[in-house]
Amino acid sequence: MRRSLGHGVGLRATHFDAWRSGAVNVDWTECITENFLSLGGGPAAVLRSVREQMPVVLHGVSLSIGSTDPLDERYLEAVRLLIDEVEPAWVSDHLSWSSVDGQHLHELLPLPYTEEALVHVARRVDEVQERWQRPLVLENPSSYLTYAESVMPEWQFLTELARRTGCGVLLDVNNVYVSAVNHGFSAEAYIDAVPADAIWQVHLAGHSNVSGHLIDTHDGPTSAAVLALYRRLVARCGALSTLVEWDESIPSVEALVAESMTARAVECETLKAVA
Amino acid sequence: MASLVELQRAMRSALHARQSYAALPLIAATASWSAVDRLHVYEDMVWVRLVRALLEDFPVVSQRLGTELFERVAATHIARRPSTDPSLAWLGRGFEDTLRELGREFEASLARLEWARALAFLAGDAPAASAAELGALGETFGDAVLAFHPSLQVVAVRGGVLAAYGDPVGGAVDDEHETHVAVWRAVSHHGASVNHERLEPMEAAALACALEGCCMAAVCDAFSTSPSPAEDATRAVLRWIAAGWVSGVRMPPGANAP
Repeated sequence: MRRSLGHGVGLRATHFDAWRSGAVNVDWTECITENFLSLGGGPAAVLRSVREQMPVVLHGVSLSIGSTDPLDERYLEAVRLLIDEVEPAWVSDHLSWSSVDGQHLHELLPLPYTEEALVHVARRVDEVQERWQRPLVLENPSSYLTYAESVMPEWQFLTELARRTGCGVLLDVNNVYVSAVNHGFSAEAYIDAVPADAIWQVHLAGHSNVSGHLIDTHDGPTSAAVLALYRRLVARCGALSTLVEWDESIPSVEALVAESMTARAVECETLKAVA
Repeated sequence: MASLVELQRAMRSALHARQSYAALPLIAATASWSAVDRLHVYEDMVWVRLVRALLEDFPVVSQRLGTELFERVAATHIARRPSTDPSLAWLGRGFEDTLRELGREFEASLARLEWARALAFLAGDAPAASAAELGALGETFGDAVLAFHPSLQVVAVRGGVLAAYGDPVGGAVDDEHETHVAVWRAVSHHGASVNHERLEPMEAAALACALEGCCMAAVCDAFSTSPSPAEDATRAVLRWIAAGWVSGVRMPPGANAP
């Protein structure tokens, strides 16, 4: 397990003025890799300024690690250049696929959890890690469908992938909860099953209930149920680098930081109780 | 059992072409949530994400067409020109062509300007050159080649397009006469803004020539029919420098150094 960076919030354009003036009181931040790939303009200037203030994690959405297409060379190289520029604490993306036959769907689509997929993804993780000369950290996606041919639960696929490749896990607790409700598995079993030493980072976020199914909307505060899972995770693993995601109906930076403070308080209470 | 690539192709057909017959048997359904409805969640998410990306790049086209028609054009664009880049930022490439194929000539021209603005936003950075750098060239000025900020582009748009952006002398929508426009990004401590401004025909020709890497002598030739070519050329180049468009000056191989 990585030493905790503490508590952070995402670097979003809505709050660029506050970031520029150093008014965002968090320990670290995470930026969406693709939003900064041009290395130019206002966003790049903000990122450089923030990097001088605190650790930054690059969080991608376009690696398409599960795709059967070859890895996109231009994308890998663009990210490598950004890595050289930013020197991030780590680089993450999602356990998903989004392109096939050269066509991109721009969605984090679930993989079938089969041995074939595991071997395929592991080979590609090795390739990316070799290319970027660092471990890749992969996030469990929220999902609304699973495939009939899956032979193992997602947590088993993810932890086996981490074991085979040395990649890290970005455990999105909200995604675990959303998927658990949508597919009827135990969120607690998932949280308990991921080895502590594989977890590099945690995401917390809000979701929406649509006719009894949960959608990972990132448009509100973290639910009590997700915070309960986070408490359970911290009790088992100790302090974890934790980031609050909020991407729709983004509140003021003060409200966002307050949300991060809530997570910090939950972590502190839990660690005290465990001690 | 489908292989991984077969499964991904079936999902692509369902989400892109809305042909779900191959994907549905692969999806595990539950009593409370059918495979069809589960697939619909992804169909909706893919559609909303793609349309939103086009809306962000083409706000004025969208305003002119209205939501319903814009979404129909977007659907055609996505079907004819599927995204082939990991970044959603490139989805708008060819949107001008889609509009033209649909007989929307004016909106196609508007889309050309909006796409140039989107590209300017994505472009890299370069430091601005000073007039002193050009002054130092002395007699070798004619051989020099200007380098420009990566965001700078010259585009030709139909009359009326600038009016759609609030330019009071922008012309009428049905005016097919083309106007040249410079598009670039400026960065200040308040953030980045993308700008565009009308260019007179001679200046547009000179700037287009300079952007293609012509030497200053050739750039100045664009003003040869002006009553005062030297003065006009000098004024234009100084304006480009003042606007931050010029990032440097280089002497081509074989030319005499200043």
